[in-house]
Amino acid sequence: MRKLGSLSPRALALLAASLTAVVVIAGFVVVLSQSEPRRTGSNGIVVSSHAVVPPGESVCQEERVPAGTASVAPWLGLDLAGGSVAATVESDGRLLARGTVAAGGFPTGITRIDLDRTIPRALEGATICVENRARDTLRVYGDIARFGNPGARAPGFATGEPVLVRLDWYGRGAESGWTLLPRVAERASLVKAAFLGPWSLWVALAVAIALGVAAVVLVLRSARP
Amino acid sequence: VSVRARLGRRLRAVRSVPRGFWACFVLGTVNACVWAVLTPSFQVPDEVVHAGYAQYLAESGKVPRPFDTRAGAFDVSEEEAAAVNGVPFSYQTVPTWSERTDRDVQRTLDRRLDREHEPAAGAAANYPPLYFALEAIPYHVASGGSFFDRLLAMRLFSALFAGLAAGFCFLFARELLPGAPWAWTVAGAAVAFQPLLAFVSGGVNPEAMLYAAGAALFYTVARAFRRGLTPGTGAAIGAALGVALLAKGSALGFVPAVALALLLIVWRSRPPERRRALKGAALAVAIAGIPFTAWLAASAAVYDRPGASATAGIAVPAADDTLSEEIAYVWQLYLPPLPFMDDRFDFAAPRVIWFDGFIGRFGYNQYSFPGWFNDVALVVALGLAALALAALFRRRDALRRRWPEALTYVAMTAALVLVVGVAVFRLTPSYAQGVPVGQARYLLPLVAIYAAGLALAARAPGRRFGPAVGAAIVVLAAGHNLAAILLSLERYYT
Repeated sequence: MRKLGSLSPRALALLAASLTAVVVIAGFVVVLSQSEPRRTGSNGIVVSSHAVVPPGESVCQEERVPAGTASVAPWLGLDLAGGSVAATVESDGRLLARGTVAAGGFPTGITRIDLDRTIPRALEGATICVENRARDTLRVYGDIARFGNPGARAPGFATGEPVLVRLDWYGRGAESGWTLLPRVAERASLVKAAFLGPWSLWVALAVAIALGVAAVVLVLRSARP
Repeated sequence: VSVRARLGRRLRAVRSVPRGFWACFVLGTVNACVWAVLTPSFQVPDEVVHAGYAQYLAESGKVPRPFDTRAGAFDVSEEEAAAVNGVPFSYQTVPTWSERTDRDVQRTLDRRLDREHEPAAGAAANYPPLYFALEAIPYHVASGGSFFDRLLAMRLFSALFAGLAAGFCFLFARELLPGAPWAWTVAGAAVAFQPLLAFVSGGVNPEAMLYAAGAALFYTVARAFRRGLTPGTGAAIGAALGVALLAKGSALGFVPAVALALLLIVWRSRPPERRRALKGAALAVAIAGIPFTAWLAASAAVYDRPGASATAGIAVPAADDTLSEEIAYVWQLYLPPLPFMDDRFDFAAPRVIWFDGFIGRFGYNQYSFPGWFNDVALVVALGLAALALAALFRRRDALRRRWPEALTYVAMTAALVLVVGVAVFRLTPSYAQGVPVGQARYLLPLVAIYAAGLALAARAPGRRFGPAVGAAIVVLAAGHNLAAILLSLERYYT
């Protein structure tokens, strides 16, 4: 304590900044190191209605599938347990991947169906089908199709109007924040100014950190006696 | 010779601005540029219609007339539509990105598409044209590029306002606490790193200009109280208020408080200085009032805009709602309900809308930090608030002496808070009145108060330990900013 008292205001400020920085950096390391299943994408459809799929029937929809997808996740609702729900991903008439999940009486919500293969490259206009292999009617949630979009092909719809089904996509297993950064760098420059590229994320993050350091230096300089 | 003399005078004027202002200006501008580069196109609130307004004004040289001004109604130019349709969007989660779509959109935008479309301004057509006229400059500078190039140019230009907000907060703290230079830097740097301000300012949004004008207004009023109201200071007050009024109607909240400030300054000025103070006050009123009144008159006479559109909803009659309901709603936006009030929200509105929103709710009011982060932020904020209050208590004699100035800041804050509350109530459809429609960004014109609070917190421990507290605040602010950037990257791109 006496040692602290002998330090100049600027040295004290440097010490405080360093200690706070250690805490902040530790926080970033902990959060970014947490591994969890990550979405590779979503069609972002609002969930306000649903397609009705009786046992043995399917709902199918044309979709864009992001690269690295290993699970498809529709919003499902099924009252009774028993049987299963299956999903397939087809492109150009070829079956690319399939998966099944036991129908355990889903509460309404996102239900991940792991696929037997990872989709390595992004697919445009792939056909995704969700088949009801359970003993009760399946509800597949989405929003009323608008703006000339025909919506999903399904045996029936809650309001009679065609529905665009909500679909989310997940990668294989759990990923930490660190492993996501290269993917983020690729995507962060899309549909923006042409000169931006994956490099812009790294530059932007470096600049944000440098600004923090510069601000601390300014405070230290203003602490001169 | 006269040109050289004039240039010399200008240079001297620039040199007389404290270096700390420029340092904070650079911090704020560059940080908002980082946000401008990283935020997906059109994901800053209402950016589609703001960019549409700027594009029409830049292409035609005319202010757009209002067509369909319902929120969320888009009717943009052929070129902007091609850009908007190419950007994946999801209200709820990370959208699906596609390099092929990017290539297709860029190729489409390389073609000559129609750029001039008057209804493109949508709901923003009711806004005054000042901000959009300024945005026409970067739009034209980047006119050789694609729409996305021009959008980025407009975003980067808008980032300058974040720098100005930070710089003026530095100057405001300098007026309030002349003996604590480190606290001025803390104030400016904290504003430069405020993520919500950087996010909005890093997009095409006239609120960026309003935040800068709000900060400038606090600074110029403080300067008038402390150094006297001269014609120059009066003109500066009028300019700051005028720009704020021409940025967004919610700035009307500042008008009665600034009028009160001018009255108090004139009343308290010594007789030999009163004439000069009166001249300053008259200049302030004229410079702020004439352009805004002209805009209101032109709106009604030329553009057929409803008066409500220029007043942030204040002039919208409170249809079907009794005054007591409106008072209860506005009260509960900011404070816990009183015993005789019906609960208008089934959540703690002050915490959820304003505090959590200020810590960071981004996109179209879509995503925010997890609860634990906001809880930690609340603990830190309470600690800093306690320090700031301690500093005020210690300087209570000065506070008592400067009561007119303190009263003015309270009035400016209260009036803006009230105007925002009334606007949120009146512009919220009745079916949505229990949900968090209000957004923390509406209160960012008061960012100077945030800056002053942090400057006081850094001043509280005195000359020896104050810089240490200030340095810790700056590290936390920079960390907060970086955390918000990572949160946004996760929300949009993972």
